[in-house]
Amino acid sequence: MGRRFGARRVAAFVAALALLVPFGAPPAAGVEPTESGIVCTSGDANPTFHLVAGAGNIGTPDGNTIRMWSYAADPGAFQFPGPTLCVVEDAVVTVVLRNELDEPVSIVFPGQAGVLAGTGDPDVTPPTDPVAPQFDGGNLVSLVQSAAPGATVNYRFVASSPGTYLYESGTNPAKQVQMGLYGGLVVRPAGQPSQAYAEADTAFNPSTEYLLLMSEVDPALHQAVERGLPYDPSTYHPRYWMLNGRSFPDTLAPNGSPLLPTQPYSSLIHMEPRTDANPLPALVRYVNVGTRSHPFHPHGNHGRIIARDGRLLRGPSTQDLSYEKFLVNIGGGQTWDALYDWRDTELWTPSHPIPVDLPQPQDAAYKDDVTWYAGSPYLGYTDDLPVGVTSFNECGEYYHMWHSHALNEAANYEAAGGGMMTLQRIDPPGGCPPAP
Amino acid sequence: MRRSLIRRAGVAGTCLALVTAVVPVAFAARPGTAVGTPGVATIGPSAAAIPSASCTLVDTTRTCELWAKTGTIDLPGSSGITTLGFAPSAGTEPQVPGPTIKANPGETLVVTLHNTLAETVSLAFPGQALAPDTAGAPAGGDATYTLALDGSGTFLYEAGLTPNGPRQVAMGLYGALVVGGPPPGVDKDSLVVFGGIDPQSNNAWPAGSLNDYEPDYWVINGRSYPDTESIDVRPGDTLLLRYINAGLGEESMGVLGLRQTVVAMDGTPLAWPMDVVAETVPAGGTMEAIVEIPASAAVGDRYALGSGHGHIFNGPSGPDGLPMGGLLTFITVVPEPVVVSTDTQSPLVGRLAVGITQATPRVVVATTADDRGHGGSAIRGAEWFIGADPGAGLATPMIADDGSFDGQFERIRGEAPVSMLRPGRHVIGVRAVDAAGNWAALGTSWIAIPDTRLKDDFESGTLAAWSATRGTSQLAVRAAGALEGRRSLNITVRGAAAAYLVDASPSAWTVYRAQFAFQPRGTSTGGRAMDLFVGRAASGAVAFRIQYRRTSAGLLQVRAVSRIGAADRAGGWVTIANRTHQLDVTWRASATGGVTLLVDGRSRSAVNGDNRAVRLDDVRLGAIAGMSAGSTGRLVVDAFVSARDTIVAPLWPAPFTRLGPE
Repeated sequence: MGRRFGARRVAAFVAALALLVPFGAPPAAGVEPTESGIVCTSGDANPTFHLVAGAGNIGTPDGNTIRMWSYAADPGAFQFPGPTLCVVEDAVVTVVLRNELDEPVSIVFPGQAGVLAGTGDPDVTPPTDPVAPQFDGGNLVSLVQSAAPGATVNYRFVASSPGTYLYESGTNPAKQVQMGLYGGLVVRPAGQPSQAYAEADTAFNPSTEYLLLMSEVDPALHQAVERGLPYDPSTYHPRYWMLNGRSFPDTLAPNGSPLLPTQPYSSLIHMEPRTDANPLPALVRYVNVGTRSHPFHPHGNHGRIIARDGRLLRGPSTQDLSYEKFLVNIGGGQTWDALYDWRDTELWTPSHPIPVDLPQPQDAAYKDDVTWYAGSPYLGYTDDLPVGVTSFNECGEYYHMWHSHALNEAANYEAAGGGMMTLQRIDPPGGCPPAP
Repeated sequence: MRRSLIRRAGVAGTCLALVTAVVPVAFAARPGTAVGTPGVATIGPSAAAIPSASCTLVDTTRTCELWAKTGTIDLPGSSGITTLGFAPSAGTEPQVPGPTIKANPGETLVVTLHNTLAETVSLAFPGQALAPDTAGAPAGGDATYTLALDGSGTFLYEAGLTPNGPRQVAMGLYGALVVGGPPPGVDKDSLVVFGGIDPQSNNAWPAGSLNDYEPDYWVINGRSYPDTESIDVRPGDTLLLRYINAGLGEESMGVLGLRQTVVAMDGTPLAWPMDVVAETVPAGGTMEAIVEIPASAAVGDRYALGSGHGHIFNGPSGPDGLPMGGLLTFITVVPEPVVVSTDTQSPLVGRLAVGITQATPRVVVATTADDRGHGGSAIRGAEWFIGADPGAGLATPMIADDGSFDGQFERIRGEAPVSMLRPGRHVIGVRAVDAAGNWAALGTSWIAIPDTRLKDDFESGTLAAWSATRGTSQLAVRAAGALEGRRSLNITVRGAAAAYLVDASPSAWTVYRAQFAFQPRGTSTGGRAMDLFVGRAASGAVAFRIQYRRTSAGLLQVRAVSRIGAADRAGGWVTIANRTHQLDVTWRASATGGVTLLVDGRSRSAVNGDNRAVRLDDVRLGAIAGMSAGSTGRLVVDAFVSARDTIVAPLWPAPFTRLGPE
């Protein structure tokens, strides 16, 4: 029957290595990305982030190359989406934005109050002007002060409340946000880096913290920008649906994969069963910068929604208003925080078998003769698969699909099996043993 | 809860009052409202403002009228787009969104839809307990909806479950229904009704279908940025945003630089309000959110409010680039109003002229509001009510005869359909407020609504309104020589032959009044008194008679006769000229009953006495009895109206009869 992984080493994962090569080009200086999970760009207690808005290309799983605009570390290589900025509660956050695009660009910080703007060296002339809409000849051109091409603009705010936020362009957002000018912003509670909020029941396993930034791309609009043609958002028809700037299966590639040099952020959810030895849940921070709600559905378990737009769901007398939900319908400009775990409640093993007739592996269909299935239904066990079928499974771990349940979005340019989708990988307790 | 109007400059003058807005200029712009480019021709200028009251309230029944019409709308870069909209009256332009209906919990809301379109229209009231209307108002017809409003909240009304209803919503047939006031502590209460517009689809109407619908524009209160209205607040204000998604797609509605606390969804308060930047409002859904404006906010600060779904553009962009627009407006911090007025005196409301118009009968109240010599401020608004006083600021707004409240002296006017009033006597109150916020003392009057029964102006060309006829060869409805309108009843008097109409609808009545126009045309009665108009009991006993004769001297005379006790008693003869007169008969059975005949409202023939035993069971009009061989000629009758009442709403001659004390 099945083999406990390790009893017989299986080395048939060469095909998976393309997805699992760790540590490509780090997305930002000083950051040591893990294989998957949130990649924070951080600074000191009152950080100054230097960002540059520029243009670059990204790849899609079906071989397309799309011209994007994005924020990146300055100096630094183009990346999409913008760096995930992580700060600590009450930090004075300064963002210096340099504009390498040929039109004015800016950043808005929805959910932050009292944002100031300025120019010049923020250490010398701190931003003092409240952000305000900008007009040119009576036309609204930007929701906040912007940087002209080649120029810089600074923003400063106090990150007064922990939580998950986003930042994006406030200049002609119907164009610039679609072009890719956005990123995530995480504010950690003071002194509690492993809690989502100040409340102790928001503690999470720091090795399983995830940001899932949802966006859409209509390549026709990007092509119009690339070619200098009129940009008409009324024709908007997204073809690519992305998590952290990638479409499935690229979402599974590790952080900083060299195969995706401008798309550094993985969306692979990788955890172990919740046990006494692994008592804390994962934290999933959902952010939607797109133009429609994305009904995101994690298979395997419900998530417990604990916060919206950076506010813990608590009643006026600290009542716990969190709730479990198997599908989170995240609207544009919203962030949802979910605690997520997976428990092996039945603990089936070959000696404590699942009490139903299991299908024989040879009776199953394998798309393109590849699978994540271990050949065994038991966690931590592998077994034979039909000849010619390649498994990406490493040690009998489980994989569950997480995806937008607007199923047209689980596709790459209308080809099903892609898009806004990733996998949750559940290793046996203690994790997969190291490869020989 | 009584809410103060005083902080809301101009609210009373700009309410989207449904029935009072009988002239287009009633929707004059609110002073100080930033309207942006005046490119939106058919939209009420202050759709974000919630009227303090709307429609006409009588006791706890609020009656509204909506006219579904076609119109055009201008959006940035695209003008003259065909639209559908609701208008508040027959004579006004349609609006997108339609007039805001403001009502209160516990009221009964009666909405009459007048459909001027060439296709069926119905109304749906999502969130209200109301059987779906799958019949609707046919082209040119009406439909009436009665709702028991049982809770406060933000709701919408929209075209409903009849063919093409969804398309009609997409084209503008929607509006806000606000039940109750805002929660305590709210300083500013604003409507954010939003949706999409596809000009191509609209302009193809009635061709095309929703299959082709792809909005290029998104609007707030019928306008795309930069034409959207700013939501003006003051530092420290608590702002209530009432979002209504009247579009066909969901929308995430967000604010920038502020947060919003969602306190209700779909008209239902949330047990646990939720603090968000943006929240999704599904198509057909509503959301109430509280926004606290920082006390530290500076005058001129602007916070963007709009689509979290990127709908911040206006239609297809041209080669010159893409201006920002669409589903976007700003919450703008404005200064505290500068109090320049030292006026503490109340304006005066003049005597009330109250009456009923003729055509489709409407109660009309007209008076004046005058601040001259009473502080000298402009009259800012006026309101009226029928029945119970809802309190200052909560009654039905009136309109200024000159179209806007801007002078120290204003002639003011309010109207409501008579059909909403039960027969009987109703108190009417009027009050006005000046620009300094001083309310006038209540001016009161009353209106008596008759229990109108049979009425016939013979314009139908038939006698079908009557229960029976006798001697039909001598009865003819003719156009020639009509007394009122285009047709009258002609009764040929030919010897002793009887020819009359019967109204058998009375049943043991003890009170009765009738009016009609009468022209004797010199008809001869052989010197005898002829029964012209008779009321009878079922037993055949006569309750009253109105008699006509031509004397041997050629005088034309009428008189009243009544059964008193066991005998008929006659009043004196009234001599009339050989032309058209109004005969007005009032009969009552009581210890001091009898009959009174008034000719042209002046000359009187009356009989009084104890006629308690008599009941009225039918009425006859024509050449009934008392004719002789020498009787000959033709009598003309018109504009007959009767009531089980001592009052009637006359069909003739006065279109505006003052019934209340002046």
